[in-house]
Amino acid sequence: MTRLDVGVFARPDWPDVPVYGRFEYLMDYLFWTGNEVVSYARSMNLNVHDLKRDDATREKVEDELRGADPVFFFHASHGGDNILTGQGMSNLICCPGLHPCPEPNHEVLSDRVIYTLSCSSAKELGPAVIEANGISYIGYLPLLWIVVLEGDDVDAVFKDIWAGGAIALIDGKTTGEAYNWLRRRYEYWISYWEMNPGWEAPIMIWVLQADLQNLKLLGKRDARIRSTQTRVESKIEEEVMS
Amino acid sequence: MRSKEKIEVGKLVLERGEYVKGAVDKWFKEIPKEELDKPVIAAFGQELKPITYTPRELYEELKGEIKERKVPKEREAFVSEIMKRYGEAEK
Repeated sequence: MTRLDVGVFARPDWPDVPVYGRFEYLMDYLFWTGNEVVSYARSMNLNVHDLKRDDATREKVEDELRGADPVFFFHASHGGDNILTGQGMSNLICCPGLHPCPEPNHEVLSDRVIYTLSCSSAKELGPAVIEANGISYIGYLPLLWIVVLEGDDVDAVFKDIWAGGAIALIDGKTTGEAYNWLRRRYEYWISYWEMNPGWEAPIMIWVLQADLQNLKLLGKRDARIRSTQTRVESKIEEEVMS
Repeated sequence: MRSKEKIEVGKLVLERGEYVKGAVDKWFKEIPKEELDKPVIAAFGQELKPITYTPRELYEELKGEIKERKVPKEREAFVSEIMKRYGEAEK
């Protein structure tokens, strides 16, 4: 049985491809999103094992997963059908499939809730993890897109949605509730851009619709990563008691 | 102004390619010059070279696809949004 209220966060960040936006490189957007999630997790007393940049390697992630034995695994990097990548596009976690995986290690995610911001892994890796008794897998298939124009209602929208899904889990929501929250948040921003006349609007709507369509939840919908009640449940209980 | 009407992009491109191209041209002309050659969208794939597109690359690819009367399924939502905003006057 993995430990509730504990999370391992695998957050590579390297100069992958220049985008000349709010950040110089594409990976920086995922690191930015991860910073918000980790900061929130700490504020909510989740036991955080944060593996950043050069620490986001296969060996260190495996060690941390086996040692800390967390229920929650957060990953934000590039991905493929059967692979999640680590620092410098290295092989972090993989199962047999499309891309070379000489040493499959997907079983290290057994009995855990996985939240990954990456492309394609819900195709082969996600099902393999669930098959190996993973609890739930929230990921994307085929692609995870971002618009890299700077703005509170442009690139920051993706941080808002992506961090929000993980924050919902940290708040004590079930995987099904977090998934539904993500869907509603995508829909909210699509509606927002439907009313916006800017040249960016067709791109924003297209990309948000694609991400919404590509979002997948595999495995259990009623799993939680927290042992305590959600904040809302606690407040209701407090009010009833008083 | 954006229309709520559902657009069948495949059929529209096949039957009225020039009309679709006109709307795409109008959209492209609205993009500030300094934004044309900077990446606007990107994906987090595992390919050695991650996928990025500038507005000009999107426009050029779209123009080619419209010319061949075949817009890929995954790009139909993009064309549909352009048509709702920039295709209205010529309907």
